[in-house]
Amino acid sequence: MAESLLRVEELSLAFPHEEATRRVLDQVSFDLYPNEVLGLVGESGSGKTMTSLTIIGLLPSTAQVLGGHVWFDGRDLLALSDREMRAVRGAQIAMIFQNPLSALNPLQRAGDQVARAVRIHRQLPKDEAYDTAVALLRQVGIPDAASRARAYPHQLSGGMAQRVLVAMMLACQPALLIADEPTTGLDVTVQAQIFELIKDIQADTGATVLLITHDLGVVSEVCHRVAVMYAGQIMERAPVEALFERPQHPYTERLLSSILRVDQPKELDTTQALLPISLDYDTPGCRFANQCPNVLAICREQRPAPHTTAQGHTVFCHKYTDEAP
Amino acid sequence: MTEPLLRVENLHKHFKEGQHIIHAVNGVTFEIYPGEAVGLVGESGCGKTTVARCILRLEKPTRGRIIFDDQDITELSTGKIRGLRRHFQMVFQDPNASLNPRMTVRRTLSEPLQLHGLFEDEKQLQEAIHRVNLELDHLQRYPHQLSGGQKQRVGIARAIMTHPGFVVLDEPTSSLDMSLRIHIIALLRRLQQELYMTYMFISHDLSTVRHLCDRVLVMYLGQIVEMGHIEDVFNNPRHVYTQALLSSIPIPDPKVKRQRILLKGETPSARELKPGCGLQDRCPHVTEECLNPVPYYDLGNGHRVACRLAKPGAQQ
Repeated sequence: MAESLLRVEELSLAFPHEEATRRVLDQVSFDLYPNEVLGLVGESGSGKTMTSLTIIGLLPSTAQVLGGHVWFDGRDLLALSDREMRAVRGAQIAMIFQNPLSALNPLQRAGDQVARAVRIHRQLPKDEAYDTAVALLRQVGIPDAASRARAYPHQLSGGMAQRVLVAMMLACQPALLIADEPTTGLDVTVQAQIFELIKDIQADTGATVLLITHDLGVVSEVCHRVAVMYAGQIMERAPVEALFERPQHPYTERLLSSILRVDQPKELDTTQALLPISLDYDTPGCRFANQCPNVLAICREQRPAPHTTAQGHTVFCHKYTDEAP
Repeated sequence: MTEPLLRVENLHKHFKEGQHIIHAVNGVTFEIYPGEAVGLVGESGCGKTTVARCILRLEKPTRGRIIFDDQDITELSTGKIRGLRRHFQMVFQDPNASLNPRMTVRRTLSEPLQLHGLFEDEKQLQEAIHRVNLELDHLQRYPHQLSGGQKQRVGIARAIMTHPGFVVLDEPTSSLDMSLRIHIIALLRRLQQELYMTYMFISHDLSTVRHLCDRVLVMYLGQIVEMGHIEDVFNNPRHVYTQALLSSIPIPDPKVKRQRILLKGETPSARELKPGCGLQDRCPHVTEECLNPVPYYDLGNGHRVACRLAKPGAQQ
């Protein structure tokens, strides 16, 4: 298999809480290969956003990295100084956020903000940078780009603002794009437009994308591979088809069965439905144990080792380890 | 056939914004029958919440009539409406905003009873708290001591305190994770049967609507573009907007490959209203005919569509 572009290795992260600390990420590991879209999936509180903020070096100052590495381009990003990290952020790793309007400067015109990114990352003179910015706005499907470039963020709809951020990201030509719930809060027809745009750009530029989402429909349509997170731990990693057809982890099975599909109505079965994530930060074992229908004694005592069931399909579950009875 | 519980006739609601008029709702007509759950769906700005607010008389309609239980409530005085409110209640989208943070659950639940002079004893609160699957000790708690799902259950309990016949649910599940959503939908369905309530469920989430409602009304730019029984509309959508909306929803199954209908651009502003179909600037099948007012075509079984393509023998 090809060399990975990004390797997150045994990443553990904690926040101080009252007297103790809370481990919000527990030995998170995954690889991201060039030109692929990897979905990082989980419910609220699963740690997917914390994982992405660690990668891009934007963690809150109270966060404590307990261990692990984030390998990117031969370097461990966790070992870089703030100054070195600033050179990576934007230029090599860019991120688009959930609420596009809060990511733009409200006092600056959209075109100027994109032009600034162009100037910084492509070293172009001012007027050339502005023309490039307008061309980028056109490329991301903004109608009448020259006049929309003069708009302030509050004059843009959510969908337009997200397109401006995608244009800004294109200006930087990053090797890795992190998209954190990029369409949450947008209307569904606009959401479809933005995903078509991201898919097109991914196909055209060969960018590598880490897509963070809770929406398994989006995963199914956009991603090549998926990593499923629950309460700060990775439960399963698989190619997208395998995950949907042959989910291995009891959590993934429950998650998939809790989906309400718009194309296939089904009977609601609340006995099978998941409960909200209840965090036991101190458990040495699997954090899904309290809700797991297949729970064994060992599940509460020890973290399961990764078990590969098929090419590229890895599950963290004692059900599959040899030591289990 | 039974009499409808609610009749909305040619409802209009316009708002003034400086020099402009926002045409939020433009001629909406529908009926809701006792015991039904009717979904009102559409994207932000389509007017669905304004319709609900007019029905509950939180807004005064600009034009049109609202008839609730054979009584015309369009012009009723605020005082008279207040007396009627025990019969129609609302569950709001964001329980963080709709529950008073300084009131315990007990006070939140007893307030509607006291306002309507219905409070008898503690048993009423206990019954309600059990109905929504909460525990008695939740009565002592303040909203910040509850989880998101529990808060929404309190919001639902508050709405059913006065045993209303009609409840408007405004996106009650949109802030919840998928796994929690199932529990809330199942709860709403059970309560509807136990208390014989009629629901109007406002949502942009069509998967939830499909699992809760009997009929659906699809709104776009202040008008209903398609209405009918859930299975008819979801299996055989006939308005281009409904088709685009349904095809935009990503299906969690990599084997399903669909033809996606992408609409051009975004919903136009409700400031200036063109005659004819609201979708005329975005529709791939637009013709001259669409620039004139479009009638509803009746496809039977209450399936009605305001699109020329639904006309018998229509060509794309």
